[in-house]
Amino acid sequence: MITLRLRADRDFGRVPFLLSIASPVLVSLVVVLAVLSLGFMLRGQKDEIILVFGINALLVVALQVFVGSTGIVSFGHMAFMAIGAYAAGIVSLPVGLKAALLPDLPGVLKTIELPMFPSLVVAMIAAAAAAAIIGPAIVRLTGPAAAVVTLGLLVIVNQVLRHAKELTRGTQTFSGVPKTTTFAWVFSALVLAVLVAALFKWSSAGLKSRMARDDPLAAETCGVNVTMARLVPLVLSAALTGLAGGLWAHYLTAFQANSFYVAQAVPVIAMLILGGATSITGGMLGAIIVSTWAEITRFLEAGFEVGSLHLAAPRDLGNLTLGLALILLVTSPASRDHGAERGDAEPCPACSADWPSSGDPELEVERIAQALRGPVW
Amino acid sequence: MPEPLLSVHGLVTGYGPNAVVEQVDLSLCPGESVALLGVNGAGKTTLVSTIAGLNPLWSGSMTFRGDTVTKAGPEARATMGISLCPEGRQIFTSLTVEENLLIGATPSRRRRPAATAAQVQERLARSYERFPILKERRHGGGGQLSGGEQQMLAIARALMSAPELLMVDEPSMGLAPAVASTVYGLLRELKREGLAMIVVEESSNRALGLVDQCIVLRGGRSVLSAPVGELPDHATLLEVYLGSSTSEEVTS
Amino acid sequence: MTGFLQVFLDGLSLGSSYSLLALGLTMVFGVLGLVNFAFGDMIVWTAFLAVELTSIGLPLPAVIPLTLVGSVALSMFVGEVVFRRVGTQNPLSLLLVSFGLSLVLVALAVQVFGELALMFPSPTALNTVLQVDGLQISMLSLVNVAVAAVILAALFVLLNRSRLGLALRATAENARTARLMAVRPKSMVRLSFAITGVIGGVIALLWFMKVGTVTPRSGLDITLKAFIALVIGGLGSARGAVAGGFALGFAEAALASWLPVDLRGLQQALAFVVVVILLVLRPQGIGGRLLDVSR
Ligand SMILES: Nc1ncnc2c1ncn2[C@@H]1O[C@H](COP(=O)(O)OP(=O)(O)OP(=O)(O)O)[C@@H](O)[C@H]1O
Ligand SMILES: [Mg+2]
Repeated sequence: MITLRLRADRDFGRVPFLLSIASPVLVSLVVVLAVLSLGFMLRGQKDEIILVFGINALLVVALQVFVGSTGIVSFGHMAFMAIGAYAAGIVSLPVGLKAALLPDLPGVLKTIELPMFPSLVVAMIAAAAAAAIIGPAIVRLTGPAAAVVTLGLLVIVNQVLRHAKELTRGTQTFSGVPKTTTFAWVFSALVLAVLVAALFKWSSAGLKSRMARDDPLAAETCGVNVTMARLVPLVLSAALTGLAGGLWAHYLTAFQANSFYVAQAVPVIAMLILGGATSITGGMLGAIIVSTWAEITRFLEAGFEVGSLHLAAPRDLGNLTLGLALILLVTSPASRDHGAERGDAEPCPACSADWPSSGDPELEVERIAQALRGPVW
Repeated sequence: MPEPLLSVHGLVTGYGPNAVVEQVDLSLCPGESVALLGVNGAGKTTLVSTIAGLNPLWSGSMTFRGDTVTKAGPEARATMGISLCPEGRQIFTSLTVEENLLIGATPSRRRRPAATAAQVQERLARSYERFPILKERRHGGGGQLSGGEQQMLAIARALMSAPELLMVDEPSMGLAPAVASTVYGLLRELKREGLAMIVVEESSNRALGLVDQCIVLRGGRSVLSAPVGELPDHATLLEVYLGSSTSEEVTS
Repeated sequence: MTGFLQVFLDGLSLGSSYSLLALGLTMVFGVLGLVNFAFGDMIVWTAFLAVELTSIGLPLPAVIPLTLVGSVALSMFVGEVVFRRVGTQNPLSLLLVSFGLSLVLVALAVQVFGELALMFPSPTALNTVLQVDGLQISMLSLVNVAVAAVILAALFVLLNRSRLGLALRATAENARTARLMAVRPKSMVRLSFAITGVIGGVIALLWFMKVGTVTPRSGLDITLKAFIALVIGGLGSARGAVAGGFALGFAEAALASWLPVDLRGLQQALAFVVVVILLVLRPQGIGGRLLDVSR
């Protein structure tokens, strides 16, 4: 928060502006290279890992656009991913397959078979539209109530998807999506997302959003429309999440409504917390750490041979460690001291025998983030 | 010279990295009262909160009735008989007037027997006797009282623990002069009953009319500490108060 | 008319479970600012305890109190070891921590009890269904309503008629000032976790007796119900939690009997849609101000 405000308040010249945008882009490229070599060492199946990593990074950048500029933690972004995935799947499914799998598709959907690019655009538009519709309900709230409602959004979308048999085959697996997601698609999408996120962050709309996040009342008196200031990042973030969903659909080719539910939201939130809610670079690092860890745990859970022994880690090791990491990250003394240092956060009375906290939810996201993130930009 | 009720030595405290109150000494005998004066931001609230235990002492020491309480928390100090009527009244708006009073009656007493249910009822009755308006409104929400009524409720609540030291932070803040006079009338009555008091005011002849001692804080330091009878003349006092001339300490 | 009465009865039974759930969450939210995402998973662990106790041959009258004790112990342990260490009363940090805790609890439960559903002990007497004038109600539902009534009454007395309750409400509103009245925030947090533990234990027994089986992943459903009821009622208000719980219960019962069959699957979604609409109209929920937080 402090860094942000200082950067934004200073007259922000053209060169530093370009630098601040170039640096996350650069970092994303460096990260790509790192993952390339890492994936190479891990299994030899480098493509798979790298694509998954890229899509994860895209997800976390998209989530950051919303969380970083509204201070609302969203548990429901998987809903936008699901919408993007299904939208992309429906418009790009080969017509022949449609007749067999989705005979009840309405109207023009039945006869179209879009290539990759337009299908991704459709994914973005569908997710953005959903956000624009449900958004006004979410952005009226703050704090835990908002978080609960984002979770509600996920539940609603999940059940509707499972129910809209004509469009989604209901609870059956949606399959046959062309496998067209490649390295080039994923990483151009990632670079695009990073660019959009950075541009938004320093645009006047982005500044207004952060203003509304820090102090809604003050923002309102300055003529900022708080609802719009939260809705815009939500729609933008949903569009990027929808894009990730589209890429995911073209990568997996087969999925179900439950492929996008609470369990799938966990790693993305972990990445966000690990990397910091506002630093795109940090988010990228979070994505790389969590994706790598996911690979390692998957490998361990599958088990391996040591001599004649078959060793396997406990099931659910990934979730167990992610959960523990989340707890430790937020409760770590580092994230506490950081607040105290700034003098505005007194430890809470219930926690030690001490004094009440500042209790400002928006500040707190930053504090967690700040304590943990790497280099800012 | 009787044993002091409260004695504070070299108290330093603050927020974050900034010391806000520095090297303040204060001593109070039973039944005695002191006015704590100073401009906005002088550190008055911080000082009384620290005496109540809400802020930790950075250095210095404090004893109450002979016990060292430097490290005690506010809960312990409340049970020992230190009561603070905080700045801005801090009425619990989600509790009724009567509940606000009841919560003020601390159940246990260190070195004193715990208040029995009968005692609590007695104190409640006493509060209603003092403030008939509270009795009228006792089942109404604490937040529905006017400013003056809230101040009375805050004082009544602070008295429910039968304290030996009452600290009142800006009792006349935001009150019409007539209402402020009522509040001071009450404080005078309490003084007559032998209660030791620290009264915080920004500046008030009313406060000086009530107390035995006066301490002026400026920038967190005590720049004047004198019995009311020996106070310098008005012009000097003003100077000390505002620090318009030199800032060396004036002590009588 | 019978149809309407039946819906009322079903709603009453569902609503009493949901009110208890929402109350359990709201107690802790009031003093600590925590909306506990792991609540359902803690209840699942308690249910597993009951299953284990039964499987070692203990009779139900012994299982019930032991389960309650276990639930209180778990709740206080989690409060002490996890949530109080967050070092802030900030709702978002606490929510994230509870999210992490939920993952850990589920993963550990999978590890310890396996993915398969375990039978939950349920005496046959409770499963009999009473038929009166075409109305149907199971013994279990009656027990459910009765237990909820007792707990609600007890909590009401505790919160409104005892010094401890006053202290709890005062801390929820303004912990700093409450300390001046010798109220320890720490003790109040412990107390609220203890109360939540009792409620969680009761829910664990009633809920899973009705469902019949328990799996490590049963918790999410419970948490979601509790969240919906809580948000309908308004965070931090005890009265609101009860109102929200019953509102959700009646809404679900009505949807279950009047919704066209092919839309039944959307029940939970519709419940959330109702919440969303309600929150747009009234962001603070429908709650009263019994345990209100001014934050
Ligand atoms: N919670 C806090 N955190 C940080 N600084 C604080 C805090 N409270 C007060 N201060 C600072 O401490 C100094 C003294 O404040 P204090 O409230 O004690 O003054 P005061 O004498 O009571 O003033 P007033 O007459 O306005 O009530 C001020 O400079 C203020 O900025
Ligand atoms: Mg003050």
